[in-house]
Amino acid sequence: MSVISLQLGQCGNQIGQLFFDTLTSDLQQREKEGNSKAYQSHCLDRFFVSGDDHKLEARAISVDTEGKVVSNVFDQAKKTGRWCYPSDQQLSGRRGAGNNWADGFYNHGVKCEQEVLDMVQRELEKCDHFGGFCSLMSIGGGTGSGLGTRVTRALKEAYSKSFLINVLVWPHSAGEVIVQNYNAVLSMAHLSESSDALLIFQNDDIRKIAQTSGSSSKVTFDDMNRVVSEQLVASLQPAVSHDGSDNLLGCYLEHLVPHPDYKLLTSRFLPQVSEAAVSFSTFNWPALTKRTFQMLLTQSVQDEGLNWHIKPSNSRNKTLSNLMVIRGKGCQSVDTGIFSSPEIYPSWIPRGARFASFTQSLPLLRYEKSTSLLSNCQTPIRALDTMVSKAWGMFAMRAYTHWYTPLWHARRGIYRLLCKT
Amino acid sequence: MAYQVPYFSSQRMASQPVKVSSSKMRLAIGTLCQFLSLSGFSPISPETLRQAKFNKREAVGPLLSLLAELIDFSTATQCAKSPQFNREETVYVVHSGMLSRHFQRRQFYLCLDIDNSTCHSSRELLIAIGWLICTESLLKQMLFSKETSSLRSFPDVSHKLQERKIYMINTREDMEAPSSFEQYLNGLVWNMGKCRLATKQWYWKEQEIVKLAHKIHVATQGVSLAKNRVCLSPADVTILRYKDKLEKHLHTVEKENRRLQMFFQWLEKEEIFWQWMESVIDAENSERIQNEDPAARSQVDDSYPFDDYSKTLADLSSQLDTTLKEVTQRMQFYDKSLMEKSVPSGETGNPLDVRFQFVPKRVKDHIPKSIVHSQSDWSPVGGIKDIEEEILILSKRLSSLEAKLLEQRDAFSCSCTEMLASIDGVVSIPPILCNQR
Repeated sequence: MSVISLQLGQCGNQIGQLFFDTLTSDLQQREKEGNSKAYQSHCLDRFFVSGDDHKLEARAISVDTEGKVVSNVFDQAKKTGRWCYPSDQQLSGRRGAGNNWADGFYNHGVKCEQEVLDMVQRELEKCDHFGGFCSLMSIGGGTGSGLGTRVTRALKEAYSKSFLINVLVWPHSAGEVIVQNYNAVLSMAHLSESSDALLIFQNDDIRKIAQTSGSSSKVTFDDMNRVVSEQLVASLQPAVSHDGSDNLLGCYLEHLVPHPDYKLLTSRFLPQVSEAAVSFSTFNWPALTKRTFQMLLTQSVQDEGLNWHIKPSNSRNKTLSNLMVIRGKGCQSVDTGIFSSPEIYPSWIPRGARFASFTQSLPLLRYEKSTSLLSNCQTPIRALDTMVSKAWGMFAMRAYTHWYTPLWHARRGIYRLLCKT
Repeated sequence: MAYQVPYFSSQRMASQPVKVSSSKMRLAIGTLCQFLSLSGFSPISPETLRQAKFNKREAVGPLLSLLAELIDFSTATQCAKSPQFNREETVYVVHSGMLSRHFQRRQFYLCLDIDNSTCHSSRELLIAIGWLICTESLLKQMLFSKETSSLRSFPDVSHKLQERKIYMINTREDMEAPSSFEQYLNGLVWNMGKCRLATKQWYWKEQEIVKLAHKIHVATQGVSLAKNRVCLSPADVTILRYKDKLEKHLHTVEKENRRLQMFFQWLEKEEIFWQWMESVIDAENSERIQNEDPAARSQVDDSYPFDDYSKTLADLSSQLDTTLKEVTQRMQFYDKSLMEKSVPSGETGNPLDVRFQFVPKRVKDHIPKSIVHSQSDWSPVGGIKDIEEEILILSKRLSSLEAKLLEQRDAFSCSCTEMLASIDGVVSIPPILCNQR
């Protein structure tokens, strides 16, 4: 299965570059340990293609309204010497979208839509078994949110039979962009129709995890992007289910988001320890699974400060489905029975379809044992409610709607999309 | 032992019963069992069939499963062991399947106990299996069906389809009863989403198969293991690359070869098997007779003078023949006399044989147009006549003749009735009158 990544906007490109970097680092480590070549080739085939000079080229398309980020990302990839981006799969503009969703959607999006589709087609022709699209973008700015939404919609129309998952980075609640709530709401309203699944990473939570698992107390965007990329690698790298089938993107989506009204996914990864602390830490499977389950019950994505008083019977986090990827030695014998507790699922979900797991005996990165849980649950609802209420508050005052007016019938459009969200 | 004409097929009209040895019969039954087993059906031993002939209980389970699989195969032309039935479903499928095929053996349906999911007669199951195999030519279908062949097309995804089907069935059964309409609706939408996404996955897997096959075709152009191909197929490449798959393929080919041999053996021994099936029915009949009230049977045996009755019947039959001959002769006589009477005196020839009087062509212009011309030069009898008058005269004559005919018919039918009244058991049926106008 090959996954084509679309890196949209600054955030999407930076996360994407770190994602591929993390992948190749992990594979390099496995190669040094002399571990399974079949697994390595399987992983490489999923995310890379062998270029003309036998160098690994990422199955990725980079799009940004500014040229600086894309060229920076391309250079960093080349520096690693392990992989690079295909030279003809980048699209950049001269001026940015100015944190304006409408500019990204109606202006830049219209101009570059066809070119992006052509690049996608070229990338698709290289795939023997196409698994789906994975779009990386933030929804607080202009390019990722506006242009990203446009591209997602175009992909859905052009490749209606393909799987499409959007990895969204939500802005900080205290936010650096004044219109981030508008941008986020507008993006969510469109993406909820176009995309098959929305994997949410909230900056607030990612920052806390980066603080815990980072080497220094000062957290940079790079650290946060690294946290996101590691979680993506943990979820998307090859693994097998109990019946021997691969963890294809389609399998994930079929299990997690069959109901078209419930598409928001949350990722929970353990362990969350710094590189320095790993060598002093020991992990066992019961502890990892128990902590992951408690994170689910308490609607937390962070390992620290879990409220152990919350039980399945009094948990407020209803979940439609859970999917766990377990990596490390002895993964086949992990007991995941607690994830089938009926109290946390609605009764109309069949028992056998509530929880699925995939395992891979090879470790991931520096962690000899790790678990990654993707949940279709109510965790993002609180942040979404906050975002929508803030957007409503601003809209009630007609604040900053003039930013969108020249490009769009802003007020009516924003009103409609606020209602939809 | 000698057996009668087989019961199952109207095509098998044996002119005489054929004596068959027990060993040949065992071979015939064994051939059928082996063929079914090699075609992927539940393995069944000849001993089970023998037990079924004597209505043993041990044979009920295997025969019930086999019958369900045969019905499933016949209905859906799928692999014989799919889906995995439970006992209740098996009995239900058997009952409804045989009913829909108009299997009219009442004892079969009486033996099927749907409430307890069992059958009380293994013999009835055996008869039903034989009937099904015979009427639907199942063995021939199995031979040509891809699903029962071990040499399936590559890649073989039928097991994946079956797994998927079983998964969906289990998922449906796993769902709790909805407590509200909203829950019911959510469950439906959820199921539909599952199917939609699964269909997408299938689509991309098909795309992958096509792409990879194309790559193989392009890479192996000019090399072929089959006459009708110019390149290797994915199956060929797999077999050539992996030694263990080659061995597995050889094993599969041998198995298929055995299956074909079994089928050819079956063609030779089919008659013997059907004769044996006839004996199964005879066994059922003799058991039924034995189970009847012995007092009633002895009354029938002792008191009835069958010889006397048969003599009487023979005498009556010869009497009837003689009487029929006499009646036939009398009717011929009356026919003749009626024919003589029907020709009227004074009239020469056929009264309807009056033709128009024709006039030669040379006097055509001097005669009225009502007279028809003719090629022959006839001299008119009694002068030239008008055609319309002639038509009138002839039609009058025709009607008078018809009236006379009717009178004579009535008179004849009365005389016939009087004449036949003296003969017992003979009825006079008047001829049907056709109205030609």
